[in-house]
Order: sequence, then structure tokens, then C-alpha cells
Amino acid sequence: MKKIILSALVGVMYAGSAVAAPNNVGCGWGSQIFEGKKGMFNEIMAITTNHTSGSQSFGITTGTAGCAKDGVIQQYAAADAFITANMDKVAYDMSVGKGEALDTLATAMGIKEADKSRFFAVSKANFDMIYPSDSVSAAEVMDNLGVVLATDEKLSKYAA
Amino acid sequence: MVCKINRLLLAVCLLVMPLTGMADQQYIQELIDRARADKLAERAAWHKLLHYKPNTFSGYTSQLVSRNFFNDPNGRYDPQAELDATIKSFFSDVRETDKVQNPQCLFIARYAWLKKELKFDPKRLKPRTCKRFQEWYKTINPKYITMIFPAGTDNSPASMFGHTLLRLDREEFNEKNRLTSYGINFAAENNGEGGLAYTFKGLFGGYPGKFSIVPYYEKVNQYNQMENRDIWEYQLDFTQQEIKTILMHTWELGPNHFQYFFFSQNCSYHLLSLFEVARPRLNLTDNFNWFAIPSDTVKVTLEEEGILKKVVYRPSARTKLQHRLTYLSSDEKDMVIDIVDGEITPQAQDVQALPETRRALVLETAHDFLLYRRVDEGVEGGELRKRSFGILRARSKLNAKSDIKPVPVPKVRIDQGHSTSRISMGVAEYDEAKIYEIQMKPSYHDLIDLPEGYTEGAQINFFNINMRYNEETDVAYLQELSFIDIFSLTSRNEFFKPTSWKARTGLEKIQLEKGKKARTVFHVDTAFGMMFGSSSSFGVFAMLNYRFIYHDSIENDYTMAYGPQAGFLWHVTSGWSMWLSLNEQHMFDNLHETLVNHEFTQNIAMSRDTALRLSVREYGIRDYTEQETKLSFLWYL
Repeated sequence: MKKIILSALVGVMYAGSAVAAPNNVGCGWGSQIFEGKKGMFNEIMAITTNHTSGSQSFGITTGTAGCAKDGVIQQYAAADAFITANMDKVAYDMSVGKGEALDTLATAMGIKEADKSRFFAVSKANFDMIYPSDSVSAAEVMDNLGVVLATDEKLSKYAA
Repeated sequence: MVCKINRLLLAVCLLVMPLTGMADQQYIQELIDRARADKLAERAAWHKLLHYKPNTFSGYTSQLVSRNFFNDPNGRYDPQAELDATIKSFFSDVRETDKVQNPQCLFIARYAWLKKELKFDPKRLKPRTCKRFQEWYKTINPKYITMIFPAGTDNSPASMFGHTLLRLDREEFNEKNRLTSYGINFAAENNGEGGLAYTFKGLFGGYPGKFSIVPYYEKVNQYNQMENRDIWEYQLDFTQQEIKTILMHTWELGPNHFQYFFFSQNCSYHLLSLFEVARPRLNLTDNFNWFAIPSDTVKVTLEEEGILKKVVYRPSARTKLQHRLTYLSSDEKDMVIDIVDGEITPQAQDVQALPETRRALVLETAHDFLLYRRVDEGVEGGELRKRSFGILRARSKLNAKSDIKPVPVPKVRIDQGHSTSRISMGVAEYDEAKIYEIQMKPSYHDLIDLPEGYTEGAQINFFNINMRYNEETDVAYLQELSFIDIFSLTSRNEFFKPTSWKARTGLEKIQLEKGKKARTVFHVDTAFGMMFGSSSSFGVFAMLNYRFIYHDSIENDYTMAYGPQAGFLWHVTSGWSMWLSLNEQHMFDNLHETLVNHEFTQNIAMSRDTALRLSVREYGIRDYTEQETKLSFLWYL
């Protein structure tokens, strides 16, 4: 009971801090769009075209746009940007307890190598809380993750 | 400031101001004179920085189209005028804002090169701080450069042509952790346009091509996950200074555009131009005046001595899934399918009865298969996503690890397959006559060419031309000119259900009616069907063909035909392949005959770039066919 109250409290605090920093909604990124099957005509024409794709693809020297500056994502938004584009992969890695996407997210959140295995274990143990439903948004996942980290004695320093 | 003090000083100021202007003028002239004396405008480095290419007769034209890329109004065509104007521009006192840059920053690579060559005096030409560039460079923080090459995917022969981009890796990053590196990508801006306009514009440079920057994970998602393409990563040995030059040049290219040509000046071509800027002595783009096929551009780059440091293979979602499936028993495979179809839940008794390591493996595989299906069907959310999360929740409760090895790296890399153009010479016996044949195609791969390095069951050829000479009648003629020829054969099984298909169009000399001479007709062919195989090296296929034939000797000028085609494709060993195809098509419009074309061909690769091909064919009109035996020598170059 005590733990729940604590985490609820921390949750409110964390949500407060999350509002202060621009979140992924503010950055204007959508998640990856599933395009589905391609028709035969598209197939024939798709030879070396490779039109620009991905919502985080930018022109260079375009000035400031959302959380990107001259085409690169600013440091404070790196973790949000990453998880927005990798919701399914991060979920999978958390449920298994390891993986490239989760490792990358940890790095983007500034988690040190020495703390990573604990981070993997803790996020696996709290999977249901971090990804409570299939319709959870990237911002909510980051908030939930913040709550989980805040209640862990070794990882709480990464929570805010 | 000083000038406001009094009138006397104002007068002095008015005198001095033109004087400082004159000092600039003097130094500008001095620099231009020195640059001219050193012939800097003729140097390779200058030409690479400005993307000048010699015109057919005389003079130069830059491949850049945007006016903003040049300082002189005629800079696109005049390297000397552009150099003079560039030197002048560096004396501008424009201050950097979020929208504007000082020319020293806007053309930062040119500035760095000219500064080095002309040894700018900082007292006479004030160096500007390029804060925006510096911040950008610091965020990217590149230490290594990696060329990224996504391979083709099953059932999509066109994807074999591929794409290349550059990845900029930070020092502290390792192989498992490179997703947040940045990629530099050159692409056409087609604004969602499709259809014929798209094709036409793409072929003739109707779209602007631009560089952009993108986190690598977006590209991995696109290629590995969405398009199921394996990715090959080639880490290249460029020095820190060369890498910085590439970034400075990318910065100065900025939003400026080239013309985008699908086949020649495409993504891969322009990546090579970045390497040339870093090392002006390289002449990579000159190899690709007509066709820049991405795998060829990789080959040419790797020819540079010592440039390749390391190759990393990143298997696609489907490759990983196929690998996982090899670890499952048939009962476990059934469970995976049932979970994915929603027939059973991860909590079902059969699943729970498995040992924990097997249960972990089944759930992970089910998740991967479900994700594959969602991507394939274009369903992002809804019931299937709910199911995915149910699986993950169940998986997160298990502490066991599913012990499977990483996907094995293919023995032959994608850049190590046969060369992409082909010339073949053959001699055939047909109707008791001897026929000599020469065949040429600029690209790319057919079903029985040496398969290593190419996507299995994928054929795509352009502009294949086949000329023949009949010794008996002493006549030379065009046997075939095919514009495009795609054939995709992909095996089906309980997990993957692709449709095999083909699309072909061109001119071909064929017999249309009994007793009449063969005609050179225009035709368009399509076919759909299925292939089943016991392994990836053997498959039996059956398809239904539709054919449109145009010739002015036919009533109403055209006929339509349809009919079955069946056969097998067998890669007996890595260098020995067999192809059997039995094909009959009945013409039902304006002409009423049945076209027959049966063929059995074997290809024996003697080396990567040479092969012998023996074929036996029976073709013509039904009950009126001729046989042909042909032996050809194939040379890939």
C-alpha cells in the first residue's frame, strides 16, 4: 500500500516535470505508419526511388522545427523521439528483458552501462505497468517508466 | 558609435569607412589574383565541391540546380566566376540567425578549402563563428562513416536494385547500439505523386533530389521491419578530417537540390560524390554515366585500397522469423499460428504445458509473426495489436531465455555477386539451320544466373537485346528487345503465402499463324501463380499467363492470349541451376491459335563472372513447333 501511494505521488511529480520539458507530442512526431502491401505497378516503379520517409527525416540547415534543430533532434528529446518510433520494439525487448531497442532507449535516457542490466530487469518486472494497454501512447510509456524508475532505489536518479 | 560624437569625427568617419571598404577590396583582389595564379578554379577539389561535370564539347555545368548554391549568377556554368564571387562573399558581415547564415558558414566546406589554399589572414578577413554548424556537428558527433545498403526482399525483384545511405557513428557507440546514429540520405521529392507521371519524371530528372538527415532507427524500421530487407553495413576508413569535410559539404548542400534521375544520378551516385569531396583524387561517379546500380556503387567504393574496415549484417524481421522457425517442432509451429490467429491464448493449456524455455520461444516467435502479419496487411492497431500485447505480457512473466543463435551471416555478401551487365554469345540449331546469337543487357539478374549475393527467385532485367544471324538464309535479325522483364517466384508454406508473378514487355519475333513467317510483335505479358518448395533451392510453380500482342498484320492489329505455365526452378549446387518451363497460351481475339513455348535450361557458372548455358526449346504454334538446341557463353561485366 505504501509503495502504491509513493509511486502515485512520484507519478504526479514526474508528470509535472514531463510537462516542463517538451514531450513527443510537442515535437510533432507521429509513429511509424504501416503501409501494407504494394501493388505490382508500384513494385515495378519502386526501383531506386526511395522517396524520403519517416516522420523524423529532416532537411539540413532548416533552422528550428519542433524539437529538431537544423535536422538533428535535440538532446532533451532524444529518448522521446526514439520511443515514439520504436514502441513495438521497446515493448518486445522489455518483455524479454534485453535487446537492441531497449539498450538504445537506456542510452538515450542517460543510463550508465553498469546500471543497464538492472534497468532491463526492472522494466521487465513492471511491464504491465509501463505498457498497461495496447493503446498506450509513447508519452504515457515514458511517464510510466519514470514512475517505475523513481520507486527503484538504484535507478531513481534516472527518473526525472 | 564613435561617429555620433561630433561633426568633425563624423567627417573623419565618412572618410575612413570607404577606406575600410577599400582595404577589403584590396584584399579581395589580392586573393582572387592568387587563386587565379594557382589555378584553383581548375582543381579537382573545387570541381567536386561545386559538383561541376565537363560538358560534351567544352566548359562545365554543375549538377546542382538551386541558384542559392552559387554566389555568382553564372556560377553554375563558370567555375572561375564562382570562385571569385565566393571569395568576395566571405567578407560579408551578415550575422547568423535561425534563418540566415554568414557566407563563411553557409559555404563552410568551400571556406575551409580556400582558407587552407590561400592562407587567409585573420586580420584582413575576419573569421566568423558558425554556431549553428558547430552545434549540429556536436550533436551528430561523427567518428566513423558507414555505408548502408539494404538488400532486396522476397517477392519484390525491383527491390534488389536497392538504395544506399551513409551512417555517421559516434565513438562511444557499439554494434549493438547504433540506432540513434544519424543517417545522410539522398532522395527524390515526389510529393506523393504516382503512376505514369512519376515514372516519366523520375526517368528524365523531373523531381528535385535532396540530402536529408534522419535517425538510423527510422531507416532500420523502414527496411528491416516494414520492407523485410536485410541490411548490410560497410564501415569505411575515412580520416576524422575527411569525415568533417563530408559533413561540412552536406551542410553547405543544405536544402539545395539536384535533378533526380532514377537510373543515373540517384541516391547511390550522389553518395559517391560525397566521398569525392572528402578525397578529391577519387573519381567514383565517372563510372556511372548511364546506370548507377547501388550494388555497383558499393563495389566501386570498396575497390579503394584499405577503405573497408568492417561489414555488419543486420537481418530483416522476416529473416529473423524464418531463422526462429527452424528451432520449432511442428507442434510448436501450430501453436504459434493458433496464437497469432487468436484460436488460443498464451494461457492455453498446450502452451502452459511446454517447458519454460520452449514457451518463451513460442511466445517470442508468435509476437514476431504477428508483427510481420500486421505490417504485411497494413494493420497498425486494433485487435491484432491487442493480441501482440497479450503475448508480450505473458512473455514478461517468464524468466527463462529462449536459447537461439543469431541469424547466420550469408557466405557471399550482397556486393559480391556476379557483375550486373551481361553479354552472351551462343550458337543454336533450329530447323536444321545453324543460328548465331548475341545477347546484351545492361542489368540485372535472371532466375538461373549465379544466385549468390542476389535475392532468391527474383528476376529483373532491363533492355535485354537479342540479335540473331541465320547461316542458311544469310539473314540477320532482331529476335528480342525486352524493355522490362520481371519474374518473381517465392515459395509458400504455412507461414508465408506470397503470390508469384511476372511482368514483361518488349518486342519479340514469334510465329503467329501456321505456315506464315514469324513476325516481330509488341507484347505485354503478366502472370500470377504459386510456387511450392521443399527447400529454398528447389521449387515447383504453376501460373496463369495473360498476353497482349500487337502487330499490324493481325485483324484489328492485336490479339489477346491466355494459358497455363508450370515448371520448376532448382539450384542443384551453388553454381549449377536448372529451369523447366512448360507454357501454352491460346489466342482468343482476332487470331485463334495456341502458342507453345517449352524450355529446359541449365546454367553452369564457371566463375563469378562467366557461365555456360545449355537450353533445349520447343516453340511455335501447336502441332507445328520447331526444336532448338542452344549453347551460350555468358560474360558478366
